[in-house]
Amino acid sequence: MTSSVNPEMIQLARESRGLNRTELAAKIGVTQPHISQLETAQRAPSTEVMQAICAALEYPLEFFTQPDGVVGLGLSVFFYRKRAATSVTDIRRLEAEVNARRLHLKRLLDEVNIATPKSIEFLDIDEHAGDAGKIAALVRASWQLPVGPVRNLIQTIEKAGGVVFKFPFGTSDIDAVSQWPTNMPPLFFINSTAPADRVRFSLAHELGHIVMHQAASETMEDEANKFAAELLMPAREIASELDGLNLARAASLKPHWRVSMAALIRRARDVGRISTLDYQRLMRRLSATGQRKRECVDIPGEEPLVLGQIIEELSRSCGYGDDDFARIMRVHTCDFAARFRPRTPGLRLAGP
Amino acid sequence: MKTINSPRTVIIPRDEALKIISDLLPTFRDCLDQAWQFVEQVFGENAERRTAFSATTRANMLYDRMVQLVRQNLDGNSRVAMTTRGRMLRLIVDGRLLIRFKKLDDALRARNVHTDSQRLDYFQLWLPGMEEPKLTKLTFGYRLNETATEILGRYVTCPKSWEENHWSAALDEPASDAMPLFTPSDQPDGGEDTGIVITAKRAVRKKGSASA
Repeated sequence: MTSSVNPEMIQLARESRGLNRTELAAKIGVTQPHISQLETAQRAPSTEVMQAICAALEYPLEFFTQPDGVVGLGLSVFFYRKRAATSVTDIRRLEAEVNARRLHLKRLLDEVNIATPKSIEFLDIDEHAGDAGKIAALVRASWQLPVGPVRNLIQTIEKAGGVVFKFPFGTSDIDAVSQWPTNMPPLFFINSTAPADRVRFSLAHELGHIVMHQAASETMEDEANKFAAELLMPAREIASELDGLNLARAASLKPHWRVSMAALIRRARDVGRISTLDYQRLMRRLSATGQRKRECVDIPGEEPLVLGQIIEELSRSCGYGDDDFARIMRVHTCDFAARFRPRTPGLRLAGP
Repeated sequence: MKTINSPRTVIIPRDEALKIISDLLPTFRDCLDQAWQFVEQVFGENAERRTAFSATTRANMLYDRMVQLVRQNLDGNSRVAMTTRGRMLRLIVDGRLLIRFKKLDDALRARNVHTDSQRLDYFQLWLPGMEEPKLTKLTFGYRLNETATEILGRYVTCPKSWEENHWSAALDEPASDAMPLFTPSDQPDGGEDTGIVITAKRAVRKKGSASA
């Protein structure tokens, strides 16, 4: 029975519960090296050990027999980890949560067909003279976005076939991550506890990676930022509004363009509408007034729709309830509910 | 207009002036706050409006609404006479104080175009032959935070010159350094038909489940 257990799933399940190997070993009454050997495929779990792991980590056995591999957090986090203070444990837990949700979606996608009006195409930045702004303009044009702000970036991405997950990351240092797994749509994971303006820019940044980058490079973060700035604040459309920008003007522009005041100030400098000195002065004022972490002008958050629509369609067409979804996703019903019930806008359950 | 440089020799002191208008201050405050909410509502309906209008225009909108409310609230008050100079409403209280409404800067000064007419209206000056007696001229004003998203404080000032006041009184507790969170009411688009079509591959209902 246990020979079909995927060692990567043991590690994924453990990290999704925020446990290290020693803690799991203590919970199930084995040694830490035993757990290490199980996770590195040096040892097959006995039936008894596997039952104990299922109980300790609160996953059904079927979760551990999934043949899928674990995917890393992507390019942004690779660079992020160089500079951030978030613990490795937090990163591992987030990575596990991202992978768990990816696997849930994969199982759901086996059950539905999705047709979207637009698509996300890969546009190699090296074939566009390294001009990330130009690629962002191409994306805007191909998606037929109207002049002006992107009113709802999450839905714009979902209309193009991306799937967006929104949940608390357990750290305030990371706002969004992305993956484009083989045979799956591009996936975007956003931190529900981050301010909406930061999430939008981070999501646009991640879209930039998905569209432009397949391999890491020293310039990719800067390119993704330029892509995000042009996608959300096209230079031709916003430049004239940034003349002589001050904080009050930035606060007026923010609700319309739905980007942070800091992003507007940076954009004003980048398109030559304020001097570098003015840019530095304004950023200092943001810091002095405590607005670098959360600005005084807030914008409403955006919500993903596609996941909720998938569940709604399966409920409606197939009569699935929470137990069925949990079975499909190979988790316990309470895990399904915790991950999918808190935020599924428009969700209506079919039932007697 | 050389003759306007005739300063009033006696300025009503701060405490006495505040006592005279003590029953009016709550009305001024309410009218200001309601006017602020009104303007926010106008801009909240469409965020692009915020980008289209300057701070001056917003201040004018606030002023116009406030004046409308003050007129409604004080109409028939026997202690208050209302006059206008141009579009400026001026309240004469008990024949002793002349009150105007203004947005103030961080030094509690009104930003006016520096004309003789403004000087006459704003400072403690008097022109022989003016219909009005020598009134102590006050400003009921407000100050905004740096992002113009919140009223930091409400004040009564007795202007002396473009640069300074004879006296001023803060009507609120000192404002915190922390900027309060401001959330515009304008919502992102959403919920409409996204054009995404999701269909179950096997539209077979489970036994015993309800029909759609």
